[in-house]
Amino acid sequence: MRSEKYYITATNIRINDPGLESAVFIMESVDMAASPRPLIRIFLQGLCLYCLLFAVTPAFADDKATAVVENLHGILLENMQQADSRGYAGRYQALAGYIEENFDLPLICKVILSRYWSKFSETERQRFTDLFTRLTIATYASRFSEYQDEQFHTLSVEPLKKGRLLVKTEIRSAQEDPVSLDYLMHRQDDRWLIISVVANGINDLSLKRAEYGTIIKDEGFASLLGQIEDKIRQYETP
Amino acid sequence: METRQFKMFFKFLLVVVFISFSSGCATTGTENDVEVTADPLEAPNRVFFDINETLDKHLMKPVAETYVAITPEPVRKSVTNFFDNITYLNVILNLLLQGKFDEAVAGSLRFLYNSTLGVAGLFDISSDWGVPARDEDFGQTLAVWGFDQGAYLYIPLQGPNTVNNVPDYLTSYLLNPLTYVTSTVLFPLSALNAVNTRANLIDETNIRDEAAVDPYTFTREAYLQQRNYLIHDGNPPLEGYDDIFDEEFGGEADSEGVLVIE
Repeated sequence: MRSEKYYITATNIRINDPGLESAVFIMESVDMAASPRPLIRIFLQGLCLYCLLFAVTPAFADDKATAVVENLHGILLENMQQADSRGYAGRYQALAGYIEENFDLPLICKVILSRYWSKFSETERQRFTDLFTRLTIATYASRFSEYQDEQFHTLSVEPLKKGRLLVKTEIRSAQEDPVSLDYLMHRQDDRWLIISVVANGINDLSLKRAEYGTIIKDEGFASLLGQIEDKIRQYETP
Repeated sequence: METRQFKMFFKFLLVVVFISFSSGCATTGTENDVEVTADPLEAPNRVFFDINETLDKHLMKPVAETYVAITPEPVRKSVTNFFDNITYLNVILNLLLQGKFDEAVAGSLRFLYNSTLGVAGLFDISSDWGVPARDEDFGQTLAVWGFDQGAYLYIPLQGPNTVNNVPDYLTSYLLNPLTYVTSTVLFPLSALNAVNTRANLIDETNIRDEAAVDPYTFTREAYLQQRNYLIHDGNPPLEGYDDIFDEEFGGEADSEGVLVIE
C-alpha cells in the first residue's frame, strides 16, 4: 500500500528517468518482500527514499538549466525566422529582457575584467556592466538575423565542479557543418543562469577577457568603453 | 628536379630555424592564480600580423571577394573539395601516428573513393556516404603524444599557428602530390588554393572584424582555443573548464596574463 502511494508520487514527478525507475523498482521489491522485521523494512524504505530523492534532484536541475538555454534558442529562432519584419530594433527588444534575466552578467563582467575588477570603482564597474549587457544583446540581435532552416538541438548536460552544469547544444542546417554551442551554467538561489558560451570550442568569455585586458593595459579603461560603444553602434547600423 | 630538391631543402631549413628560434622562448607561467599562456613571440608576431592585415585588406580580400562574385558556389565547393582531398594523405598519416587506426583506414578509403569516383576529389562523395573529413595535422599529433602546443606563432602570408605545428609544413608538403608536379601546374594551382582558402574565410574574418576590439589578441585567443578543440577532436576535457570562475580577482594589474581554457 505504502509503495503504491510512493509510486503515484513518482509517476507525477517523472517516469522516464532511469534512476527513478530503479528506485521505484527497489520499492516494489521491498513491498513484495514485505519483510516482517521492522528494522530491515525501515532501512530498505529509507534507502528507497534516498534513491528517489537523488534520482529526482539532478533530473530537475538538468531540466531547469536546459529550459533556460532552449528558451533562449526559441527567441533566437523566432528572431531568425522573422528577421526582416522585426528589424534590428525588434530583435534587440525580443532578446533584451531574457538575456538580462538569464545571463549572470555581473559575474561575467567580473570574470572578464578579472584582475582589473578590484581596481575600478563601483561606478566604473556598473558602467562596464551596463555597456557589456548592451553589447551582448546587440551581438545576438545582429548575429542571429538570417534563417536557412537552422535547427537547435540539445545534446547532453554534463556536471562540472561546484554544481555547475554544461549544457551542450548544436545548430544544424542543411548547408553548413553543425556548430556546437555549449552553455556553462550555475545556480543562483533557485534559478539557473548562463555564465559562458562556447562556440565550436571558442569561449567568448576568455576571448573577451584577453582582448579587453590588452586594451586596458595599452590604452586604458576609457578607451575600452569607447570601443565597446563603437561596436554597439556598428551593430545598430550595419 | 634540382629546383624541387632545393625548394624542399629550403623549406626544411625554414622549419628548423623556426623551431630552434621559438622553442627556447616558449614559457608558461602562473600569475596571480591565473594560468597564463605567454606570447613570447608577440613582438615579431604583431609585425607579421600587421603586414598580413595590410596585404589582406588591399590584395587578398578584394581578390577573394571578386572570385566569390564570379565563381558559382558549386564550383568553389569543388575547388575546396579538390584541395582538401589532395592534402588528405597528411591527415591519414597523422591519424596513424595518433593511433586512430580505424579512422586511418576509413580516411584511406575516403581518399581512394574521392580520388576516383569523386573525379580527382572534385566531389566529396565519401561525406555523403557517412565518412566526413577529419582535421588532423602534426601539431595535433604532438599534442596527443603529450607535448604542449608551443608558443603562438604568426607566420607571414600563412596566418596563425603554433610552434609545434611547424613540422606539419614539412609532412603536408612531402605528402601533397602537387609537390611532385611541374611548377607550370603548381603555381596556378597554388594561387587558386590561396584565393579559394581566403574566400572560404570571408565570413569568419567579417565576424572577427565586427566583434574584435583588438584583432591581434582576438585572432590569437580564438586560434589557440580552436586548436585545443581540434586536438581533442571536438570534445575537450571538462576538467578545468570552469576554473575561470573560481579565481580571486584581487591581484596586481601589471602582468600581461592571458587565460586559455584547457
